[in-house]
Amino acid sequence: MTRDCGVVLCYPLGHEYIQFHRAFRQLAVLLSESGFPVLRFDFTGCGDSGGDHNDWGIGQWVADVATAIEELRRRSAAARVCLAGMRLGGTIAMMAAAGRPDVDPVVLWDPVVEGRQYLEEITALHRAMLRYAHVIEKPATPAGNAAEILGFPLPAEFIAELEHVNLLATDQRPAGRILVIESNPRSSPEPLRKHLETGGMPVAYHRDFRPELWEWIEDFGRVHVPRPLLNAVVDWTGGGAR
Amino acid sequence: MREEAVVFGSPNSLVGILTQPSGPTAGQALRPAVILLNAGVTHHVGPNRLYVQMARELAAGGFLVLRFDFSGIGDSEVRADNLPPDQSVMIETRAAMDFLEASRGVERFLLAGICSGATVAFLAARADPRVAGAVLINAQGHLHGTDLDVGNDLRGRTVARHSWRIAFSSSFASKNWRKAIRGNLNPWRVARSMLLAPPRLFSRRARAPGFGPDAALAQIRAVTDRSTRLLHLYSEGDEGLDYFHVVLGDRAGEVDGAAGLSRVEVIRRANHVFTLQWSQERLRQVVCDWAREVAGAPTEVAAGRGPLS
Repeated sequence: MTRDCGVVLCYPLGHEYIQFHRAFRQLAVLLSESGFPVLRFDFTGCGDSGGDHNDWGIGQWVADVATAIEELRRRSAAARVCLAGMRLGGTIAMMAAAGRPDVDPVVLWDPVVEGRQYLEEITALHRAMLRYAHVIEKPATPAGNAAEILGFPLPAEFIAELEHVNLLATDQRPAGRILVIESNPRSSPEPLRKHLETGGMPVAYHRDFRPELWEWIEDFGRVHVPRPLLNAVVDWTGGGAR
Repeated sequence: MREEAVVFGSPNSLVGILTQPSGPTAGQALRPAVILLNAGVTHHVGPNRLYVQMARELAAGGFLVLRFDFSGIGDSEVRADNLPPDQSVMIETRAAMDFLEASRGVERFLLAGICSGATVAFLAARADPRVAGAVLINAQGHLHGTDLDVGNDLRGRTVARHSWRIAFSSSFASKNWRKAIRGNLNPWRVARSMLLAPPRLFSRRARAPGFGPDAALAQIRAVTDRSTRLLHLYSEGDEGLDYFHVVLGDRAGEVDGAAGLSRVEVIRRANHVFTLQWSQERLRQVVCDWAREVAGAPTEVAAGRGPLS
């Protein structure tokens, strides 16, 4: 049975993207086995897509999601599209869904609610990596070293853009049905859930702490695929879609 | 530079990205194509997206580059025949070469991989005469075969040497001692590895028989005797560097410079997956320079064995 709702998966950024690729492919397979046409894609400057970190931008990635939706609808019979995003991918998914009646439902997995807090978190992880991994930074140049986080450059323009990200400042509910997943005690999407419920419509909430999921791990082979969480996404998405 | 998603293998179950140089391609078939092999279970973008950048830089230098996923990794399908991975990766590396030969007319190949990808690159270079060269980045376990006793013995000595080297003779020594003094290291683990290291390193009693530097050098010679070039490239912080020295002992120096066919290079202050940007840039530079050097070298080299003899 092919459903009339397709799913576009939105990856997280940087080391989270590398560590979650395997899980997202599994999620795509599970959704597909449940009848959903699924499209995974890489944002501009990420993964296999064209460009590099100099092309990163929130606005660009929101536009990328729109392109992905069009492509999925062109290739399938999907009348509606579910956006499912992890971490920053969840943030982009929520932004991209705003004002689009053809996007419903939306799955937000540990979304980045406030960009400033996200920057603080990944900077702290990077500092911890510098302390523990067998790495030594190059001495700072007179112009200073460019910022980098856990294997990826972090352009100043992108940092400035991230600092302005605040999902609590949005006043438009992205979709009728929303699932918020909390898998890390530090992600705290609870304020976002309450914010989204302001209009009186409930938001589904799934909590299953797996703090190891988006911590930086040097040996990527030790990253687990959180199958129960993937099943939860498939079950919930299938519950309200034909 | 153009990039294209491709599927190949039997039955079209392997997924890869082909990066092609722009501009005239006349004579390209004479140039070896580069194939980047999965680092562990990290998909074809490579750790820290290193393979994407490496492929694009190599393509800018005129190389055709394929980065693909072995079965069950990344975007490629799981095999239906339940073949053990050590066999399937060999079949699939050969399938990648067959695909480029059939579709692009390429007859010679350079293989490169990090970690387990390096092991596959070495074994494929030994098995397939189409391989003109292989870059083994942080390779470990590739020189001793599949004997479990030998493997266990080497593993113990590798870990011991690694602990000792990192603590006393690496660029990270002072950093680690600072961590220890501040109580940021588990004192029991430190004490255990420091106490266990000397007996493991110097006791000859527990060593598995039948394997030594001669056998390891013979493995390398099996590749270089066919004029296939090898670059062992290690991060200073990687355990593979200790494996290399444990396996080869005081004959490790013979691997470097053997008739110009084999080289060893160490990127100091870098870790296993080249997390910091400067180390990624250095890695890409070394690999691209080496590929250019091999591509420009004559295909047949006098069979002089040099220091490896």
